[in-house]
Amino acid sequence: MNEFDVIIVGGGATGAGVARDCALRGIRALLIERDDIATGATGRNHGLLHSGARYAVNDRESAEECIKENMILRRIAAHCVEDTGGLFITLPEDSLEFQAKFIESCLAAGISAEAIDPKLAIAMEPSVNPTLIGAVKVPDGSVDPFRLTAANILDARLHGAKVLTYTKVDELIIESGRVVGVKTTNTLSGEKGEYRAAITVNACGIWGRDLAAKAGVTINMLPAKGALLVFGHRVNNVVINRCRKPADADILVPGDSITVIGTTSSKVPFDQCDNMYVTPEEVELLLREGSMLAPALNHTRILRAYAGVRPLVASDDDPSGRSVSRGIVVLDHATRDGVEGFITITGGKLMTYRLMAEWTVDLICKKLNIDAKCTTAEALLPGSSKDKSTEDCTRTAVAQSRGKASAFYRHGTNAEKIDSSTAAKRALVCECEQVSVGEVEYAVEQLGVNNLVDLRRRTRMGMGTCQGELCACRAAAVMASVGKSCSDKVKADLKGFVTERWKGMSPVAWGDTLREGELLSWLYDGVCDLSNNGKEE
Amino acid sequence: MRYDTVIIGGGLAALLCGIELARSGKKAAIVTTGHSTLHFSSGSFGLYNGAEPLKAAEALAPSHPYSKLGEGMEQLAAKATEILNVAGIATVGNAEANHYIMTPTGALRQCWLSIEGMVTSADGKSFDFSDALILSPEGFLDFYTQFIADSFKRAGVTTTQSVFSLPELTIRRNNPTEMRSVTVARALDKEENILALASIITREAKDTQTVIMPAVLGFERTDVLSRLEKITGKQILTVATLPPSVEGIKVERALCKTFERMGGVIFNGHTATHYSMEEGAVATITTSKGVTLAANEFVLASGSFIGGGLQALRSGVAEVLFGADVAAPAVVELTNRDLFESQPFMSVGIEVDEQFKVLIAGKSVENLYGCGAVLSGYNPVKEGCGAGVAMLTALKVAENIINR
Repeated sequence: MNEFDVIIVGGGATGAGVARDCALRGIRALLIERDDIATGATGRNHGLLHSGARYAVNDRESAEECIKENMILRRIAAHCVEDTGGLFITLPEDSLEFQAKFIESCLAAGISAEAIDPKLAIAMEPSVNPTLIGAVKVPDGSVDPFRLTAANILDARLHGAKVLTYTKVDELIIESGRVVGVKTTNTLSGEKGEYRAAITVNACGIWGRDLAAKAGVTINMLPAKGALLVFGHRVNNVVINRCRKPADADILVPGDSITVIGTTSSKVPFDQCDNMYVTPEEVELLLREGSMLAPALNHTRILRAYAGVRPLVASDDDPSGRSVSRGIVVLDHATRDGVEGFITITGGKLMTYRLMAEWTVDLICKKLNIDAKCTTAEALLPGSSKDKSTEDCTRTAVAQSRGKASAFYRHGTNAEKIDSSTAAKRALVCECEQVSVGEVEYAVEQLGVNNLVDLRRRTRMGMGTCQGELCACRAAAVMASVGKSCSDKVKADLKGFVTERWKGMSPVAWGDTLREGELLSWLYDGVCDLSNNGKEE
Repeated sequence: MRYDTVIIGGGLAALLCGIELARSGKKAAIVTTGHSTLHFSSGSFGLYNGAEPLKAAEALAPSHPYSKLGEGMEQLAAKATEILNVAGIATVGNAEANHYIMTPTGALRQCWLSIEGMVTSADGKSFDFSDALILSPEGFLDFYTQFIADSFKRAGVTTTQSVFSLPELTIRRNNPTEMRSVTVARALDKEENILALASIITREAKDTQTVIMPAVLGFERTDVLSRLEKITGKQILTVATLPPSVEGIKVERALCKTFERMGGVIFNGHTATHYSMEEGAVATITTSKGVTLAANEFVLASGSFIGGGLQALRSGVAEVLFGADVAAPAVVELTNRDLFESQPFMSVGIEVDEQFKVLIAGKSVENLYGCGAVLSGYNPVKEGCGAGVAMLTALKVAENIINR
């Protein structure tokens, strides 16, 4: 069946959210992603559950959207969210006058913001810069973007949506000035496909410019690179922000077993969006500013560096492209460009993915004359449950095994589907992140995992201190036995995985990270001799 | 405490240097933090990549450690082999022509020496058996038998795969992180488990005469493979697993014992942290446990970054103990973005003169020698010469000290 009501191109949080919203409203949806889910900007940010406080002073609208979505995500995606709380700190070189304005703006936007004694802030978060002169408590948290996207995809599929990853859109099918479908190629098998729908949604983030161009439509986008660093352990338990006008590297977010500092902001050419490297200057800046928030960062091991590209959209009424819209941008190309059946959803942020999806599907409903209300603000995502909190499940599971407890932390109530009945299934593949054989099998069978990098996004396998040094090989073997892959394919996958890990390690390769790199090279290029893989014949 | 020579480091280079000095009558001491990089060993020793490693090594740049060995490379290689054999490590191979060892991913990689009993091939294409049973412990995730089976298939060897378990391993597996190489190897130190495994081999192999197993046959005992061969009448061969490398640990242990048997002293768990100089020579070193050792000569065999001899800082690379001169590559970047390309940091290390004396502030220190992975000027992974440089430079340093 290649006929749908809606085709969504792009498997980030937004695309996944649109697919889920469509599915819940009974709209037949197909989601097409050229890579794996959450590979673009979705998976390349802080993982901050914004309270909206950051935007309160300068962008009231974004701030209000953030706090509303923040409260919704805590409910519908409880297993993807951690209620860490957040601090906005004022340092001696910052102005306390800004703090007053900040609190006032937060309250006006509906964000609880309470000034607390700096001493109390230090008690709340011992890693915070002790020279702080002011602190404001806000409802920030952390959110795992991979889990969030995977849960949306899972729910979309449960409600009848079809999802194709590793599928690239070659062209839009245009008939009498109307987009009526897409022609695709599966990037793994080379297989061609053709799918038709009344409406095609462009949810490609920064790559949306190229998809729009296939319909002859111009969207003026500005790729803005943001670089971040991951530290080797959880330095802070509370999100630490700088209480000043938003600037570079002023947010420090704890997540799982690590801490992330970011971000920088720089314009990059479009041809670099597919291959982001973090520069030494960016590393320098992130460390310098980051250690202002938490001085311990100066002597904490950096695991890796990564960068994403924000899809900033130039306002349509500004031909110079300088005036950028930071908010949500929904473009109905029928009214804007005279191309029917084509909608672009872009701008916005990870925090507002659900709202972006709601607006998009509202427009779809209007166009298709469907009368169906959005329920995504109430309907819980798979893994979250009203009756059982993730904490409760985790606590029960700890008694059984560490791996099972970690699985609940990652998959919420869905972890019940992970087989832990035998020693073989409970055996740990990844010791840093406590990923069991059963969890790997669950991810491969239920969560659309095609390779080791996909597996990392679903389970955190290889995201810990050793960056996948030993677990990659084990996971490859488990995956191969589930999927019956040939060993050349497994080795190519393994090589791809360690190459990807090293990409993030090499910009910060000093101290223990270089030692880890030396071991990685020794093991995979030396002991295993993977560099000659495929050259044997 | 006073010794003739104090060696800093506990890996392959330190141990070979120590053994050679001890057996020539020197009172030698080794100061080591603990586990050396032998724990990540492949069970083979590389001299240099290429069909003929000795010939290939003749054409190297003057800065390469091999270029400082002079005429005696062949003799040093023979001596290294002899020391391994003296330590009870039986090896296959010679320095004239490389042979091939099967890696954990089933690749066939060139090497100079391999530990006897491992899967090797003379030409990198064929084996002298036509069928084999691949037998691995059930639930052992660090050895993927399909890699091995596919590699044999390419070489025209038919294989069947089977798993085995032992009551002890079944209990161990209740702990989800216990099924690692060392656990299995320790279980196979026990005679009852060897006998149980032997009957499993007999039952599973049937008419097949060759059995391939992960290199986990015994931890303390070195005769497990031969015991199994004797009981079953089969040829048993092993392939290295992912770390920890049981074969590497056994080599480390055998060399330590040999060194101690010859009168050497090992300060295990000691990190050399301070040193003192007198008249341009090193007088003493002091360890993390407060032990001060005086000696006539000192050998720096502290390894590269993993070993802890070198440290990469944001500002550059430093040699950790003496702050010795570091030869950094001409390029600014320490790393290449592609993991499988040559990594510049691999060739970073300390500078030594023609006699392997360590340079500090541009001057050779009269009684301080450097050997092994702490040296600069070679890429152990890309040139396949990590073990060769470690052993040959160590023996050359020992020779220079003995002739001093």
